[in-house]
Amino acid sequence: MRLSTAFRYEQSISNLQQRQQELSTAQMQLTSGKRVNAASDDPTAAARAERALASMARSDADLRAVQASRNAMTLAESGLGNAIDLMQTARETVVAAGNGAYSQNERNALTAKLREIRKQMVSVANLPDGGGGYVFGGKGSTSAPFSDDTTLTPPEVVFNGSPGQVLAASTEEINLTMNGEAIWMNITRDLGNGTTETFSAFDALDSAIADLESGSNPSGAVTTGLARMDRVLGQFQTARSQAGEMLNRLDGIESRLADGKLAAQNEKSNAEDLDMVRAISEFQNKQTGYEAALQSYASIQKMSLFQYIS
Amino acid sequence: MGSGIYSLGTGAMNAARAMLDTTAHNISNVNTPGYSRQRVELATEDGLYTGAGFFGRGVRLTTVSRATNEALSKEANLNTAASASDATRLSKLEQLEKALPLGEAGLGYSATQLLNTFVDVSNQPLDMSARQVVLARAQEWVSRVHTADQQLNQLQNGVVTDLTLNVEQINSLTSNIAGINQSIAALKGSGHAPNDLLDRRDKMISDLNKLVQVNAVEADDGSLSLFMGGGQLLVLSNTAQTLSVVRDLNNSALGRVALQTPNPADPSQPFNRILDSSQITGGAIQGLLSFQDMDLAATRQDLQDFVSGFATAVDTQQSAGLSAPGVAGAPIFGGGPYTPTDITVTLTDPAGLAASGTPFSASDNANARAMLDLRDDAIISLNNLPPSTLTDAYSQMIGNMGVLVQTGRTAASISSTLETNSAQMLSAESGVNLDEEASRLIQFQQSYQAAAKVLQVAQTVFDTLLNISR
Repeated sequence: MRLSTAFRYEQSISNLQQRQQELSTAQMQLTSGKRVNAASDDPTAAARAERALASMARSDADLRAVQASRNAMTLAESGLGNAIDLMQTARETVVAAGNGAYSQNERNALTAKLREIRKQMVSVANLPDGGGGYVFGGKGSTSAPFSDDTTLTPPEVVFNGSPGQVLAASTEEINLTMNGEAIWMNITRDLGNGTTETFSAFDALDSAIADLESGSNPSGAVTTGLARMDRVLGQFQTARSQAGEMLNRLDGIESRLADGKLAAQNEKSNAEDLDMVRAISEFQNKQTGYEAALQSYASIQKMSLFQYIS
Repeated sequence: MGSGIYSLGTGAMNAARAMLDTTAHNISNVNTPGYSRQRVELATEDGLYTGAGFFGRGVRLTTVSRATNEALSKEANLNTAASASDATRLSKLEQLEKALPLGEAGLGYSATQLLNTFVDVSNQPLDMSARQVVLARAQEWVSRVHTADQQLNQLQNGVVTDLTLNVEQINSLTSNIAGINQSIAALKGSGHAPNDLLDRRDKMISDLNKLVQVNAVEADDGSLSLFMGGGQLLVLSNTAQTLSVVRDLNNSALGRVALQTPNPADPSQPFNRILDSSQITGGAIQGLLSFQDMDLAATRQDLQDFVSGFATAVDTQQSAGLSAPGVAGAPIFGGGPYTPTDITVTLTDPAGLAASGTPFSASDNANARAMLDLRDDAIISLNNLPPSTLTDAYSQMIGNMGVLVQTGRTAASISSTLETNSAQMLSAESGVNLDEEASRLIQFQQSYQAAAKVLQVAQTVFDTLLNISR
C-alpha cells in the first residue's frame, strides 16, 4: 500500500502524544497512590470506596456515642459507690443509736448526722452528667430530678423526671442515663406477713430519723431502720453492678467499632489504592515504549529518497 | 518529414515539463489538508497514414487528473462525523464527572456527616454547640449542592455556546460550498475537472462532517447537494440553507438547532423551525445534543432526586420530633420542593432542632436518634427506582456517572480508530508520498533530457541538410 507522507507524520505525532499521555496518567497514579482518581477509572471500585468511607465516618460517630455512654456510666458507677458509702455510714450510725445506754440527747446527735447524710444523698442522686443533664434523670430532665416536696409534712423527696432511661445513638442498647426512679424511689421490702412496703432511699433515712427522734421505741426503730437500709444497699449494689456491666459491654462495643472501621479502611484501600509494584513496573514499561517511539521517529524521519539524489 | 521530428521533440518536451510541473505541484502540496495528488494523463497522437503505414506523431496531454476514491471518501466522512460526535460528548462527560466529586469532597459524604453530627446532639440534647454543628453541616451540604448545580448549569451554558459556534461554522461552510458549486458548474463546459477546486470542496465537506453528518449527491452540472443524515436539505446547487440555535420550547435552558425559513411578512425576522434530533445523525452537534438531552439530563435528575429525597427525609423526621414541649420541629431546609437550585437552610436557631421525641422532656434524644437511623433507611429514590439508603444512592450516582464516562470513552476510542483507518485508506489513495515524487522527478527529468536530445538531433540533421545544399 502507498503511504502518504503527510499522514505518516501525522500518525507518528499522534502516537507520540498518546504515549506521552499514557505516561502522564501512569505518573499521576503513582504520585497520588490511587488507582481510582475519578469514578470512570473504575465505577464499581469508586462506589465501593464511597460506601467504605461512609462506614468509616459512621464508626467514628458511633464511637462518640459509646464515649458519651461511658462517661455517663462511669459517673453513675462512682455516684452509686458514694451512695453505698453514705448508706453504709448511715447504717453504722443507726446501729450506734441502738446502744441502750444512750440518752435521747445522744440519739439526737446521731440523727443530726443522719440528716447530713440525707442531704448528701440528695445531691448524689442529682449528679449532673456534665452536659446539662442528670445521670439518674431517667428519660430526661432539665432541672434536678430529685427534690424535697416542701408541701408535705414532713417534706419528702420526690422524683420529677420521667421514668425510664435515655439511650445513646447506637445499634446496641447503651445508656446515657440510668432509671433514677427505679434505683432511688421504688425500693420494696417484704414485711413477712404476705405484704410488701415500697419506700425510697430517702424515706428509709427520714423514717429512721423520725422514729429515733420520737424516742418511743428506740430498739424497734433501729431494727426497722436497718432492715430498710439493707434493702436500699442491696438496690444500690444491683444498680452499681448494672453500671459496671454496661462499662464492660462498652469496651466490647468499642473494640467491635474499631474492628469495623479497620475493615472499612481496608475495603476502601482495596477498592481505590494502587498496587505500587505493578504500577512502577507499568510506568517503566510505558517509559520504555515512549523512548522507543522517540528513537524510531528520529531515525525514520531521516529516511527519504531526497537524501540520496542530490 | 523534417518538421515532424521538431514537433515530436517539442511535444515530448512539453509532456515532460507538464509532468515535472505536476510533480512540483504535488511536492508543494504535500502538507496541504485535503489535497489529492495529481497526475498528467498522456495519450499517443493518432498515427499519420502514409504509403508505408502509420507513423507515430508523438505524445498528447489529455488532462490532469486527481487521485481520489468516492467510496473511500464517503466512508471517511461518515467515520469523521461519528468520531467527532463521540469525542465531543466525551470531553463534556469528562467535565460532568467533576460535578460529582468522590469521597470526602462529595455530596454523599457531606450528607452522611450531617446525620452523624446528630450523635453529639443525642449525647447531650441540651448542648447548643452540638446543635450549632448540625446547622453548620446542613449549610455546608447545601452549599455543596449549589456548587454541583452551578457546575451543571455552566455545562449547559457551555453546550449552548458550543452549539452556536458550531452552527456559525456550518453556515459559513455551507455557503462556501454553495459558492464553489457555482464555480464548478461554470467550469463544467471546459471538459476538464477543476481538481484543486474539487479538493477544496471535498475538504469543506469533510470539515462539515466534523460538525454535522451530511450526505452528498452529485448533480449533472458537477454541483453537490448536501443533505443532513435525516434527509433535511442543507445545500442545493448554489444556495445554502441557514441554521440557527434557539431555546427549547419547554425548557429555555436547553439549546436546539433550527432551520431558518424566510418570513414573508418581516424578512428581518425569519422563522426558526426546530430540527428533530433524528435529523442530526453525527458530528459535534450530535455529540452536544445527546450530551445535553441524555447525560446531563440524567445527572440533573439524579441530583434532584438525591437532594429532594434527603431533604424531605430529614425535614419529615424533624417535624416528627419536638423542639420544645408541644412544639413540633420546624423545617431545617427551605426552598420550595427542595430543588438543587433553590434549597436553603431556613432553620437558624439551634434550639429549633427537634431532638426530643417525648412531649414531657426537652432533654430527651429519641428524635435525634431517629435522625441517625435515617442513615440506614431507604430514603432516596433515584429515577423512580425502589428507594435506597443515602450512601447507596450516592454510590449509585457515582457508579452511573463512571459508567457513562467509561462507555463514552470506549465509543470515542472505537470511532476514532475507525476514523483513522478510513483516513489512512483514503490518504493511501490520494495522499502525496515524497519518495514517489522524488523518483518521478528523476524519471521526468530524464524524459525531458531525452526530448531535448531529440531536438538537438533534429537540429543536427537539419544542419547537415543545409550544408549539403551550400
